Amino acid sequence: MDIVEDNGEDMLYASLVVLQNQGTGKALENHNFLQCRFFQLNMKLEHDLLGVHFQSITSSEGFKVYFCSDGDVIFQWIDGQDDSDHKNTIINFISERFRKDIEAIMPFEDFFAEYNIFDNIGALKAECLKKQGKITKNGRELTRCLENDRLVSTFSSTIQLISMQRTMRVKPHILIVEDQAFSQQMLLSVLEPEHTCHVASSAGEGVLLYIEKCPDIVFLDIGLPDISGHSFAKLLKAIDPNVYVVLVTAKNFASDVQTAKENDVKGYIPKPFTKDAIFETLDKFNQNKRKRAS
Amino acid sequence: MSSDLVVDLTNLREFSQERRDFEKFLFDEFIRSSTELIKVLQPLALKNGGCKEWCDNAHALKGISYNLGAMTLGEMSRTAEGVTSETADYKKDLLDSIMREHQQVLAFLDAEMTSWNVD
Repeated sequence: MDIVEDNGEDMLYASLVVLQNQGTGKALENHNFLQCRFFQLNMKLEHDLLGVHFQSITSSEGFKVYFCSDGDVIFQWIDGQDDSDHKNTIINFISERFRKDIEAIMPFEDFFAEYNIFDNIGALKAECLKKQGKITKNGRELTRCLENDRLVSTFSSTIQLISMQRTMRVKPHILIVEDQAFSQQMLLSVLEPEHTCHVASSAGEGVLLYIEKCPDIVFLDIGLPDISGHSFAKLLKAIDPNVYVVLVTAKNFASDVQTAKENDVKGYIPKPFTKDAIFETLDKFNQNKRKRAS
Repeated sequence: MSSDLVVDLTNLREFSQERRDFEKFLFDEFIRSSTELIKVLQPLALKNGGCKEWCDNAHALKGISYNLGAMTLGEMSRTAEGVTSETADYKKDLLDSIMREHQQVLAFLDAEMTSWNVD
């Protein structure tokens, strides 16, 4: 068992980048991660406890434990015949020691976040970056991210890796970036019955969801609390050249339309938005997809 | 959509399909958000000229008003959003009008929800 004692997020992030550069497909499919949110528990897991309780799996290939600077602990292992035992061993151990403390503040199952590197490497990398303080939901931090070419290129490579998911989807997955719950719910009432939808209330949340879920269409409001929708559209274009952004906004000044064109925004739905306008947008997206496929 | 009515729910009902629980959620959300936005605008109306915070909040009020179908309130918020170098007196008068219209919208929503209970 390999224990990374401090700032585990740095080592984990570095190892994710290495794994990502090594290959795709099967090679990545085998890596599993289980995050235990000790940060929320405001409690630290003692390193010494692990050796005793994990004797059965300490010799397993690739079993690692990352102690992050915020208190969270992330376990990593490579799939084998006994991989389900690894997960159960960890959960049983946590349950024995901490269940009462956990259930005092959250449902027990919410204490864990599970990642299969092939499915959601983006989410795990974003989690590491958040722990490193390189990305937050704060607008000023996000603006700095926009100026950080290395970070944009990391996000970009994440998207490239998982964008193959898009080809397998029958219906487009949608990301709604809108800070007003009222407008979010109106959009969801039309889109959610037939589409997988994700909702972000800020650009900061939006970028994390984008690299995790790789949506096909982004319905984007211009007036966001952290950065403008225009800047966000520009960032998405830098991360993913195939991004399909539709602005949904009550701003309809000529300068906005011009900026939207410069950022390669594909559509524009003015508020009050109508069902017809939303369906037309989806039809246009599907037509474009068919054209590209043929 | 007619702007003669305080609130024209025609478009919103295309979305809600007249599901009352959903409409109640939207109305409650509108009441909460719009009241909060106006509260932020109040102290900003005492200063000359526009500023980012004033514009952002007026813009948000415009968006939810249009989506609700409160077109007059939406138009007034749009005027507020466009404020650049106007005086504090102008802004205060404008905000007073917005608040009067807002009260009418809230009364409309309240009456609408009360009528559901009668049905």
